[in-house]
Amino acid sequence: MIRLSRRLLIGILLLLALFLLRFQWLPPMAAWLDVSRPRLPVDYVIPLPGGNDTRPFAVAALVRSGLARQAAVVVSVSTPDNRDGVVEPMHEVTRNVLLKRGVAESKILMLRGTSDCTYTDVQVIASIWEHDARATVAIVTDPAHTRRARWAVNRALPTYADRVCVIAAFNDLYDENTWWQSDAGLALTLTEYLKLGYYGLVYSTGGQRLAAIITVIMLCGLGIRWCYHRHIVPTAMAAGNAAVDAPAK
Amino acid sequence: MRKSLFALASACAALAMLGWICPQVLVRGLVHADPPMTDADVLPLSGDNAMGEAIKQLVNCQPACLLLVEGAPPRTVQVQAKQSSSSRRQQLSIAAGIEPQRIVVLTAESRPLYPLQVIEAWLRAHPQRRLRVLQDEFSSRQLRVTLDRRLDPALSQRIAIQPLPDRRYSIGKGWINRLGVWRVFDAYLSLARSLLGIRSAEPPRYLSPDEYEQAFLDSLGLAP
Repeated sequence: MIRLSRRLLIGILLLLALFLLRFQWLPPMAAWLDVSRPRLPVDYVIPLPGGNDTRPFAVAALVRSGLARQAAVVVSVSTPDNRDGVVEPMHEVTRNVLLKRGVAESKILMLRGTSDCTYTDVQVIASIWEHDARATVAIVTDPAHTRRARWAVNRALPTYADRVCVIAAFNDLYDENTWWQSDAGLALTLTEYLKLGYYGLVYSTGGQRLAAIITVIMLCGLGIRWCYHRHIVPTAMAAGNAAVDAPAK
Repeated sequence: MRKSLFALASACAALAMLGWICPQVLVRGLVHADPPMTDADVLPLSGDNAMGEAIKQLVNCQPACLLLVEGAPPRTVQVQAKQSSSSRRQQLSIAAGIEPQRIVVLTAESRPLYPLQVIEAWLRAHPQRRLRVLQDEFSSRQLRVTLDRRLDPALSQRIAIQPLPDRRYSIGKGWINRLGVWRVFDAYLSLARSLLGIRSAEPPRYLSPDEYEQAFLDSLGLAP
């Protein structure tokens, strides 16, 4: 009972410490996701699908200011709402933003494909090097998304990875220093960690997966061994002692 | 030996059952459906095919109105790269045979859109009317919790939530695909915030397209 109370107290103190120090450890959690490294000028600048209220505007600014020669837009798979006509396809809105913000039609390249996630977006981008083998590319996305985008580039395009830079288009939906205080910040940041885990699992190499499985098995084994020695052995010994003591009484 | 094998097989079967039942239970915790109200106005708030469902219900329910909530225009609408969602929905509804006088656009200046204030104002201004809100199924319980916490019980009871399944992932179609898992995770975060009564902080000032582009170049240290 005393042991349980002590554990409970330690748990409560730990939670209290985490809460009191939240401004120390939560902002770095979001900052870790941002691996934006602009290397400009580039030949092509590409807004990853999604984030139409920020990414195409950032791309338009880069093209207009001469920091990118041309914009490219990834054509996404249509959603049921697109097919019903309730929502315009994302790539059409992106293209319209670029045109409205002063990017000439001749400077917009549409990249056809059947992309529905970051990894396949990056695979579609590879078609740029079919036209222009020496092209340099900047990918524009949300700050929290840059790490996964960079990871996808390194994994899906190892040959061209050093010709690609990832740039963060900041968003004004929430303040990144207090991301946990807003619904959007909380969802975007925490979901990004979940997605990173998923990418690590699905798009990693066979060797990496094997290493992960072995680690999990070893951790489970250690956990079972710890439980066995901590709880089962003492209980069995206590029962044995009780059985030995009983006839003496 | 036979006993051990039987115990092992039973444990595996129990684990398999648990693995199948637990995700279903987990997801059902997000879904809330109120009993349907007849002659209620219809508000398609979120969810796949919300407009199609709203139109279907209104065609068969003559006096009821279609309510559309519109927030402050995003930059894509400001530069006319796309229509505002309410004007597009209005066009779709009229094309489907809903009379224009039955379509009401409720405007809110907030961004991101917090529709609760406009719903509350509508209910107070029309004390005889009731509202059927069409909401994405995984956000339906969160909406019910929010309505019950923030509105007077008398107002909250005049709102019936109808959860809408998504054609790409839903409980009925098996939600355990990539999009479904992200959505369930998001939905649980939002539900937890609503249950704890945590309100979202005010977002930073929303920049105009010119301001945004300038601030972006500044953030790179490349502003001309």
